[in-house]
Amino acid sequence: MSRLGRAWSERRAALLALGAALILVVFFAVRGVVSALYWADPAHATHPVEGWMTPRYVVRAYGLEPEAVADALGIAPQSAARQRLSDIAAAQGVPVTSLTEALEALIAASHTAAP
Amino acid sequence: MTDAFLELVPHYGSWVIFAATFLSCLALPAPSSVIMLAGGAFVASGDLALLPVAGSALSGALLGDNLGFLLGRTGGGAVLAWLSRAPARARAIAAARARLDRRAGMTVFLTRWLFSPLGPYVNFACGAAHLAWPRFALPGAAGELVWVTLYIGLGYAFAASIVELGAVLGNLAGLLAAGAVALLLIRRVFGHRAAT
Repeated sequence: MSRLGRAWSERRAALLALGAALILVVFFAVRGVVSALYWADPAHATHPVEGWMTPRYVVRAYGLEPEAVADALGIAPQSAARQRLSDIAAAQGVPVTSLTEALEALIAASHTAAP
Repeated sequence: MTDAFLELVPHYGSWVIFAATFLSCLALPAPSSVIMLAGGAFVASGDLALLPVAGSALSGALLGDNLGFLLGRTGGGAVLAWLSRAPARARAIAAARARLDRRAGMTVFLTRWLFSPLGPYVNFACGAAHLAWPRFALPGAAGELVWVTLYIGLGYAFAASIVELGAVLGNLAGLLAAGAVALLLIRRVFGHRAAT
């Protein structure tokens, strides 16, 4: 009897668990390669501006001037910490996309200004 | 889905970081890695302070680990007795217990950060095996310190890419954990001499 056959008759539960673990190994390996290929595409290299971000985070993550960000959002330059874009949009009574689009335009402008 | 959790971090700060590491150390579904990365990123941006972020992540993890150990110690005996009804399974459990006893320090340390998805089960197993508490707690604390420093540090350094980084690291943790389990089972299934 082969080693596999013997394992099947003597240690079936462990062999089934091993099969499940190997399926998971393949799953994570494939998913890792797929996401690596996705982020290798320059179009996906920068994360879009989203409502969970704060003005300070936007300044830091996209290398922008604090004054320019405050200006685009229509807030005071020294913005309070921990204010999310979604909070600012709610306070201004505008959809959060109007703020994220203004910031995306600012980011695009900064790229053309300093390539 | 990730966005909904990220929304919580600037708003609730340390509390959500504490809750995330605490729950994930008990095998409850909490995206602790992306939340710690976000904690580091918001420290970098000046929204949150480093000490509360790191302190809450570490204390949540330590509390979760030790609660899991305590659950194993109080309820694990009954689970092991129930599992050991079949003689073959009883032998497997005895072998696993002997191996855990020999390599407790390294097993606990590495399942905090490198093989982190296995951590909660190791906590329970160490408690169920009646491992002396310092043999669990000391390498556990050292490993959690590595885990917290690693994720908050990466979030700080790569603040712009925390969502992508969270996905990569989550995938890597899954791959390493599944690989480690597969290796242990290969020894169990095929390597009779090595498995004893």
